[in-house]
Amino acid sequence: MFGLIDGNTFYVSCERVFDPKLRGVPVVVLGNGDGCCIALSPEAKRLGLKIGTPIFQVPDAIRKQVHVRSANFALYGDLSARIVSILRDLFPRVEVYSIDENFVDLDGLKDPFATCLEARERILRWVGIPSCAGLGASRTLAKAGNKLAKDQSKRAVNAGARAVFHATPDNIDALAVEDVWGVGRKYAARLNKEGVQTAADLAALPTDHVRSRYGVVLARTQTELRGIPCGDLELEEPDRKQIVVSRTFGRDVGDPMEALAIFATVACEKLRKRGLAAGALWVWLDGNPFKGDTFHASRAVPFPFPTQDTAEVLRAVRFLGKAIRTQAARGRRAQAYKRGGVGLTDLVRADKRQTDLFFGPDERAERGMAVLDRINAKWGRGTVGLGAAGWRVGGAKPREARIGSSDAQWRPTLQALSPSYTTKWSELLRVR
Amino acid sequence: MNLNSLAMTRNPPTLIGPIGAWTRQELPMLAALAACGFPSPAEDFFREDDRLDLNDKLIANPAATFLMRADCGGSMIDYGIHDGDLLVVDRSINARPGHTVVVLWEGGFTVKKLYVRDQRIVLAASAGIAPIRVPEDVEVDVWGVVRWSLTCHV
Repeated sequence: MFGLIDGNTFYVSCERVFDPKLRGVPVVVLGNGDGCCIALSPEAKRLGLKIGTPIFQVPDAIRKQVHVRSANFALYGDLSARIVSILRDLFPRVEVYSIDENFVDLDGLKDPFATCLEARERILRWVGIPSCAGLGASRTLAKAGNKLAKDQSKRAVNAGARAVFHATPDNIDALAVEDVWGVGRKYAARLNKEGVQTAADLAALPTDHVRSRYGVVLARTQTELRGIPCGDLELEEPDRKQIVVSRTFGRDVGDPMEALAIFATVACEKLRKRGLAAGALWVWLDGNPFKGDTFHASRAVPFPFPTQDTAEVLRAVRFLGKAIRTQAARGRRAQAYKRGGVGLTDLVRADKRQTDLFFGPDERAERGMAVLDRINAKWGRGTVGLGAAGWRVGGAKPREARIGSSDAQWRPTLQALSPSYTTKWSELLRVR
Repeated sequence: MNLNSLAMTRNPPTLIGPIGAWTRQELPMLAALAACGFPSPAEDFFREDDRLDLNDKLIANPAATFLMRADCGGSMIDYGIHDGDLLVVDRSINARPGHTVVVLWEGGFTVKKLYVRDQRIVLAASAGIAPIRVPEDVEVDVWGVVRWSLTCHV
């Protein structure tokens, strides 16, 4: 059995941990150098704000009512790593799925529901983040349970057991079919037309019909909804919140940088294929839990301007990977890594990026990337890649100037960035 | 938090062990072993593990521990907290009377000593500063318990 535990409006919740003023009021977190809303508190949603809306399009009357914060990925990455470490203590296996979502293995637990509730309460008390948990015989059911838990708890901080939902094929009729993991908007519209409105309706369709009309992928989703896990389910959400590439390494790897570089290269290819650009990068590494090594670290950085450029992403990966490894080298454990991943988040449509006076896309680099993709599409992935460009000897200097003054590249001009409460000595919260 | 929850918190919560993700700075107990001549008599007693790790000592529960900076205008000096001190705040400890706590009070974070007097929660500071007697109908939001405060003396 699987569990899926994820933070409620995670970025907003992270901001609220350290800023009591933000509790119970509309909060918006902006990404892409303060361009668009990437996270909304429920109060902000009620004002009619939508994820992805550029903030300048929001009428003044509404903007005055919301508290605006710039995305603080250093803070979110730190709190996310704390949550993973709490889960590692409670569950035999944890699969990091995104910065705010983790799948957990519930097999062998005496009371999975109680353990998930315990995890939920610990995360709330120890880290200060409210979350919801879904349980199910397959990942898709766990995800469905998570959505139903969110609905029945209304994402309340003190929801307790109402924030945990055990989904079975018989109790998912309250879940709309478009909210089923793996059902895109396009499929949902077609399914609705033939009278399939809920997850339960989809599970009840004849398998042959689903396979012939919608393909093997949706048939697999359906099988999962019936409580039969499909092992090698592609762990990639059809929505466009993020692109994650992660693998369990074949063996314990001492130097994971090459693997991370490959993940980043693949992620960038997917990014460009979908016509998107990434506003932030997130990297994580795990030790080998089977050898009692519970090492987990994750770090994130924003890009000064949403990028499609593999070279720029690789430089950032190198920078973050090095930071994590320095951290690991000081400990006694995790000298070898079992799993790692790269996530591109804070995604925007590449053609809708807003340039300002100082930052714009590096068009030359991006044209180069397009050529690279065409070559790789024709002769196979990995025919042409970036070597020295992204992987300078001795590591790329993250503060290397590309435009204007030094460190311009790594410091987007953010107006409402909260301090790095958990990652910088000079920015610790001051207690009166 | 209210008085009932105070009474129920006799049993401290189970603490998890330190996670590997936390940085460690190890201080060797013996700076150097004799390189030649007679083997050091201490060598038999000195093993790889015999290192002192301040993180291990100061941080019982890494996932729940946050560092903060005291900036309370000397109001906690009677309790040994000076301005500029580093506070090691643990959110996994249930607050009990006698603990030094970081509380949310009137919209901001403040560090105070937690007491119970005449069935009321009292947030106390140094002598000369009137303690806050929390009205019965007001919930005290304890953000975390101060496990250590570190003063720099140089």
